[in-house]
Amino acid sequence: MKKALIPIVLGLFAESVLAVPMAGEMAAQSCAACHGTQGKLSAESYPELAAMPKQQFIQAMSDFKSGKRASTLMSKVVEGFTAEEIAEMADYFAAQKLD
Amino acid sequence: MMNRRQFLTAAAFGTLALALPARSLFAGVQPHVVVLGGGVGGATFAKYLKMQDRNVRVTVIEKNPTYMRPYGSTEVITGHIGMKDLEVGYDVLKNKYGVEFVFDRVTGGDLDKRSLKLASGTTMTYDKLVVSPGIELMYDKVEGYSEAVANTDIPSAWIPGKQTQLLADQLKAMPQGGTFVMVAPPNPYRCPPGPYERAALVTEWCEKHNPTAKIIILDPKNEFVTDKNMLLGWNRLYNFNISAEFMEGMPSDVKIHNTPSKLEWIRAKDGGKVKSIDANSKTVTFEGGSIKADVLNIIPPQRAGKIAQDLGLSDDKGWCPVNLTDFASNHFKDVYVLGDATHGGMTPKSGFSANSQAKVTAMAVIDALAGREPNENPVWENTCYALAGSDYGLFVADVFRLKEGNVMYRVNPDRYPSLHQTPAQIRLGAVYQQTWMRTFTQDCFA
Ligand SMILES: Cc1cc2nc3c(=O)[nH]c(=O)nc-3n(C[C@H](O)[C@H](O)[C@H](O)COP(=O)(O)OP(=O)(O)OC[C@H]3O[C@@H](n4cnc5c(N)ncnc54)[C@H](O)[C@@H]3O)c2cc1C
Repeated sequence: MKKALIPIVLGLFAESVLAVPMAGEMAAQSCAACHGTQGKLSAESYPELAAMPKQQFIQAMSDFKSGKRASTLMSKVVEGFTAEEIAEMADYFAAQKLD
Repeated sequence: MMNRRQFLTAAAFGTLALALPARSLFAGVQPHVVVLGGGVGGATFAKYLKMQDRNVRVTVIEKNPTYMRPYGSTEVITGHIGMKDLEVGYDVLKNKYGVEFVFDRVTGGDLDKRSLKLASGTTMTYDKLVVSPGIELMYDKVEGYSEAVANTDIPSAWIPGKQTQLLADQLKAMPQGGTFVMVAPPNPYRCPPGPYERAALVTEWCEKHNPTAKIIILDPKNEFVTDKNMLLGWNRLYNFNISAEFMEGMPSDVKIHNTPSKLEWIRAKDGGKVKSIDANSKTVTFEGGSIKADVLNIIPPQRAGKIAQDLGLSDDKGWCPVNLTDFASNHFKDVYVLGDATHGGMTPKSGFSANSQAKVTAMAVIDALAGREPNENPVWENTCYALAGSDYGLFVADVFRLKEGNVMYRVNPDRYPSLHQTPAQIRLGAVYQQTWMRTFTQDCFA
């Protein structure tokens, strides 16, 4: 009985296993309301985050935080995330491929 | 229930089948998530749920085959864009993400039986229901006002549609030197900076097209989100005099103008609270006096969209109480409420909030379907961009989290632009506001 059920279950939920969000995905999704779904944008005045090298993302966030880099609202938003989360968000965006 | 890490381990070791909800053990039973309302909250939720898991069946029930976005709709009133520019189609959600759509109106249902009734007479059942119906405008709360009057003579234009075009036409036809009166709503309401942005853009329009016109805001409140930045913009652009309570921290270029501004803000403490209106003469009686308007725009008190009331999702304050971890309804199992209709903790009634809530809740619904606990440390964001003039941008930006289980707090201490921003930064804020209209619509609907 059990044996017969397993393939069905996996068939249904095969993608659900993949659906466990990667660390930082929820935080990264909050960027998408301006910077595009998965950080993907075309020719807009916000920087595209998809495929941004990890170090570049982290540097940008830390410069917004310290005020080294002037911003409109990023200096406020960056206050909402821990260094660990920013690193995880950097991983998330670095893993995205440009369309 | 398993947490995330246990789930991953179980998945890796093939013990997953045992942990899955019993329902999924039956062949061909695909979980069905129904979304009531294809606006910002509903559309974003449907898209992100499908992105998370293509195997979940998602059906959006929406009364209009084309969405009309409220955000940015004041630009129609000033002729910057047309009504057509507010329209957003559902084709991408259908074709690219596989979201199903039923264009019908939900008229009621029995949420204890997980079933909804539609205007066409059909019934729709669900495993999980997500409700994002927006707001209901309570026209009748303003004595002398009604929906009928709003549709023909005194538009609110707070839910986009015919009233938006009516207000645009009325502004254009206003006699030279006429008076535009806006009645601002009490808290809480959709888009906190929105009424003040509208007053500003109408004033800017009048400077060009009707230079002797007057714009008067009658307000039942004494303050609003982004007030200092907005008032500073008004001072610079429209000779508005900033009252002493708002002067702390203002830059040295703030001027005291000897001539009255064409824009006037009459607050509650100055008698701004409206008592009644006479619709025929467009005369507003407020605590401080009465004014006869040439164009009258009333933004009435609000509560959760009517269907949320009818389904029993709202409380005595008119909004839907939810568990803040996942925005699950406090009133019914397997039901979630998003967007303007919720109390929503501290998240304001903005499109940005509805979009952010939708993404967090999409993850939580996947977790619930898979028998996992939702993420216990959710994070939401809100940014409301607003304009004091076409080239004068400002904003409020928030990141929210939970503490002690169910108490929401804002993480960032500082949420407004500095009052000492450079002209270039202010202008960039306005560019970003316009960019946001496009990129945000894509994140929700494409
Ligand atoms: C002038 C103005 C400017 C704004 N500017 C901004 C801004 O700059 N930034 C920002 O973030 N937000 C802004 N907003 C606010 C933003 O538009 C709303 O907060 C957002 O749309 C809320 O999303 P929602 O999903 O709760 O409701 P909505 O987007 O209103 O969606 C509700 C949907 O449910 C459908 N529906 C309702 N009842 C039923 C039923 N019984 N059956 C079937 N379908 C139903 C409706 O047709 C609608 O499509 C602005 C609003 C206004 C009015």
